[in-house]
Amino acid sequence: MSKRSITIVLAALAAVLLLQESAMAGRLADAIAEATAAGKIDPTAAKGYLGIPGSPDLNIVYGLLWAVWVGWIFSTVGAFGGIMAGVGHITIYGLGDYAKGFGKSLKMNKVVTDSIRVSNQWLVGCSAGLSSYNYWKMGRLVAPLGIALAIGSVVGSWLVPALTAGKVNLKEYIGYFGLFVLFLGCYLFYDTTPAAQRSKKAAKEAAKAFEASVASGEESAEMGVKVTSFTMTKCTFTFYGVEFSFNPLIPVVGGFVIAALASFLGVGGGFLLVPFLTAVAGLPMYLVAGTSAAAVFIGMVNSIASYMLLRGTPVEWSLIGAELVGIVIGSFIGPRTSKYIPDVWLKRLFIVLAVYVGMRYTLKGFFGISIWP
Amino acid sequence: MTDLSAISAFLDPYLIWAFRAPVHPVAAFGLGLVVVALMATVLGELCMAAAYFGNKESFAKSNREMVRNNNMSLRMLVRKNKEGYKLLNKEANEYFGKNFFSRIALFASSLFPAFFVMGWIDLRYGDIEFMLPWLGKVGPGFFFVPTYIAVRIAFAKAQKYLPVFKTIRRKVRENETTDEELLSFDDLNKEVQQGQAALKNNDSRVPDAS
Repeated sequence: MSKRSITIVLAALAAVLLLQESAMAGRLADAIAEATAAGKIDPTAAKGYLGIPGSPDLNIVYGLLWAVWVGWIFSTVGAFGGIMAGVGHITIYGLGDYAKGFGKSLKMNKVVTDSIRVSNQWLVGCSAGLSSYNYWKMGRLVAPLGIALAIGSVVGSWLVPALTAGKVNLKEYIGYFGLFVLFLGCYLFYDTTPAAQRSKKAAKEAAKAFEASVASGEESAEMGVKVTSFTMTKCTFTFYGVEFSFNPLIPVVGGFVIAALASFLGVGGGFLLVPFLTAVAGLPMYLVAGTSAAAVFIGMVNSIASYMLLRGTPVEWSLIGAELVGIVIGSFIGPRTSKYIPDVWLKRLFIVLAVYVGMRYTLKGFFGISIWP
Repeated sequence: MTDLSAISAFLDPYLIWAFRAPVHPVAAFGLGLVVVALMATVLGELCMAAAYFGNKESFAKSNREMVRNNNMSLRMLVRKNKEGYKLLNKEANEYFGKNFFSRIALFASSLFPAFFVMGWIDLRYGDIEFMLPWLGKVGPGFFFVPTYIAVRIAFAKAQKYLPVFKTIRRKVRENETTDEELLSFDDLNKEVQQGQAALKNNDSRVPDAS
């Protein structure tokens, strides 16, 4: 791992942190004062989450165990860690019920909701920049695609916190979160279908055939990427003589939607960007990798900064520290269990969980129905 | 000890001594920040090394498969095999995802002590407000973050001279070495040029049939 890329990530975090320090005290203090006046907070009670008197003192053991599960997901299924972290913050720590206890009208409900969102993003965003730099160093982007994606991503991740921070209450947030988890479950289910598995098999066979006849096939005379035509609705380029085309509006809209969704829910969005970039433009791995890592990173820094600067959302640092420990332990266990549990079964386990959590949150958030614990 | 404030209370005796140097209070605060930042850095680096070597085969494998699939997909493209390119590119992306997220966890293992220190600073010094020109009131965390980053950069530069850390660096480099490097456009262009040159040589050796 490059020391320089670590430095870049740390520097970006510093910029966000330095600026948020002065902003966050005001919003939390106002919310505490308002809730105290409304008789919802006893100012003499022991301080818990975020230093709010009488708030739940989070149980480290539960938190750590949940983070181990998040880390395990990270190192085996590959993504969705942000989603699982969010489930933990809302349910396992009991912050959801605590925030709801303040009712819709008090600021404290929204302060805690925003804090949950930002905490999720810290967990993923801390490291999204890690590989951005390395991959950026290695290759070049297809310029129109890179620019389009960056515009969508930045606009999406600034607009959503600005429009929703302090406006979305916990009930709605949980509802949307549930819908998103359900969607993920479906997406992952497709990945385990015979059709998707067939492509894996075909890839293996293609690789075998290629290795057996390295010298066969006509070599391309053209090199690199050449944009052959560019209009508002169609960009055609040749990649080593093979023609590809995409609609430039799709990455703008896609980048915006993914960044907006990630920012609203407090997740990374990288797991959506990678298939999106591969499908849209058929880009090779190392270009997709660099572009998606950078887009996630830019989106996260933007989003965290706008929550903290525009709205002064407080964060419980020790909680993130404890969760990082759990993630490390989980990612240690992951590679060892994947020897005994095939990837496809891991994904199926995740699908069951996604449907359970997604249904529960959607019904609870939008209709107030609790069908299972 | 099952709540968050208990973590900070537990850490207190290990961290507070650094702030009690018998010098001017502001200097003692600055010195304390440097010491706790250094402690967080050293502990983080050691944990990152443990996490890396504990999963060294897994890191090497995902890296190897990512590189192999990516390189083969590009070579297929050069031979105008679009379908093969797409299939292997998808595989390469999947391995990239695994690699990417396992590196995230690795980075987390080096960063967590800093978050605990931040939490402790909030508990110990959270009520103190510093007045700064242009920025107004800031908390103590405002000073810890840049200190931590400066210490971490300095430590990274000093690593090659420090026992233990010197060895860690060398062993990581050995494990990361693979048979093939991730192909970039430049490498691929060179391969194509070499292929074309070889083809020309073969053509020039074929006798004219006319």
